[in-house]
Amino acid sequence: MTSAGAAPTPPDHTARTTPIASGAALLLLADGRFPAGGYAHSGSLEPSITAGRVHDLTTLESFLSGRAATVGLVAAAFAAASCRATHDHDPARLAGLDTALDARTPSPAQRATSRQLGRQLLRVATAIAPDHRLDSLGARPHQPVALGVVGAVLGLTPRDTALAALHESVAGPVAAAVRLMALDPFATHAVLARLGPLLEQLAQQADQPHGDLDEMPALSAPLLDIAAEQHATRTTRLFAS
Amino acid sequence: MTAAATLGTRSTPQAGSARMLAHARVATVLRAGPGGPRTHVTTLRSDPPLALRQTIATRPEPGVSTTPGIARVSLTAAAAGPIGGDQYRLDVDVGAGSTLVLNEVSATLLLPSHDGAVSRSVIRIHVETAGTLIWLPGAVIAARRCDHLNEVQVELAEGARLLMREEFLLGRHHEPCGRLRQQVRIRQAGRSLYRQDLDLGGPPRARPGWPRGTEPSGHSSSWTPRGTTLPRRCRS
Repeated sequence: MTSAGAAPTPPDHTARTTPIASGAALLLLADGRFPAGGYAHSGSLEPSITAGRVHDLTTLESFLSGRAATVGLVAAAFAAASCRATHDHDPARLAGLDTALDARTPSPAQRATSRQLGRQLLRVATAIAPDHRLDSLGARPHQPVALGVVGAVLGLTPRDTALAALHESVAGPVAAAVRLMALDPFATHAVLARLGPLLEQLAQQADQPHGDLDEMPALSAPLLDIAAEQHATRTTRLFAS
Repeated sequence: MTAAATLGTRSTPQAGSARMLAHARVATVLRAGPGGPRTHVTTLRSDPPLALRQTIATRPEPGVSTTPGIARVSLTAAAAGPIGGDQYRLDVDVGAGSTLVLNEVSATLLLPSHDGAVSRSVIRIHVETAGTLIWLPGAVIAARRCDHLNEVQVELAEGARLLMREEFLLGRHHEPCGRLRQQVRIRQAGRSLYRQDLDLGGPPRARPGWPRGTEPSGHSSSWTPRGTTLPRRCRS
């Protein structure tokens, strides 16, 4: 019984009062169990296995390092730039980044996948950390742009967001590899661990600020584009992309 | 030289290290004529080893088979190369409403120089309103130890159309390829439409997702205007 007689305020579940510590936020975002839909995608590994280009641990490692150094780097650079634009309160820059990423994604199937994953990531983020900055994007932003904004909302630095994007660019295909090729999960994770220094180096490269969007990384991986297009028309497939 | 020609940096030609500087130009306009409007070639500037000639159609051309009054120009190379250190530049201006088919007579063989200098080709394309460019260059073959940078910069006005093909062969028969980098920037009405870099034959991890031992022997792609397809026999 209180003498003041004021009714206790009910806990507000819609507003996050304490920010998540950035280390914990990075783990949350990079966790394969984060329900943003990434588990349904193999990052074009499934069609590459079907085509016979990936068939063992050696070819898997080569696939992963090539993927990280091309489309992985591009995704990481756009995630870092989107994170920076969100910290700088610059929604116009975010729209520009989204268009610039379209120009770097020639495969319509990959554009659709990226926007679908971006939408799903925004929905999860809105539930775990409601923030007006999440509403500044359209309903279907590219995944790296959404990742950058979510990273900023969770208090991550652009570099950590870039590292999360790079980790995701290889960790997803590694999880898929175990299911698609019946490889030893210990051995596939050893491959993932060996890629660590490369991912760190690429994250640093991705974190370089670029004033001109045209100068942002644009390294392409034509075989991944072709694989994505072929996979989109296949009726028997385990992964969505 | 090598520092200036890194991917991602816009570099200016450095005359000091260049062995062969060539700057060729072609421009077209649309003019009214007795049989209806025709495309006229107003500039045709060859610069050895880049030679430009007006030609007639010798094979099916995608996208323009039924268009009367279009212009055709062929690019021929009057010498081997580019060899490391060479700087080539080609400017293409397609005037409003005009149509140009620009093809190449032969393949381009990229060769190294003794000192490992980078060779560079810059292609600047501008297509004005309602203009059409069908650009069908020949295959680019990256020979052993070559180091080449290909820059393609395209500005399309609103309503302009572009069909562009590229084809790379990584080495001649049973030959490991040198390094071939390409930057393509296509902008329409000030908006970035297509922006892709390619790095072939460089450090292994820079290869775009191509597993060791199964590198493709070539790569070919095309940009087609909406509603147009590239006939099969036009592909090499």
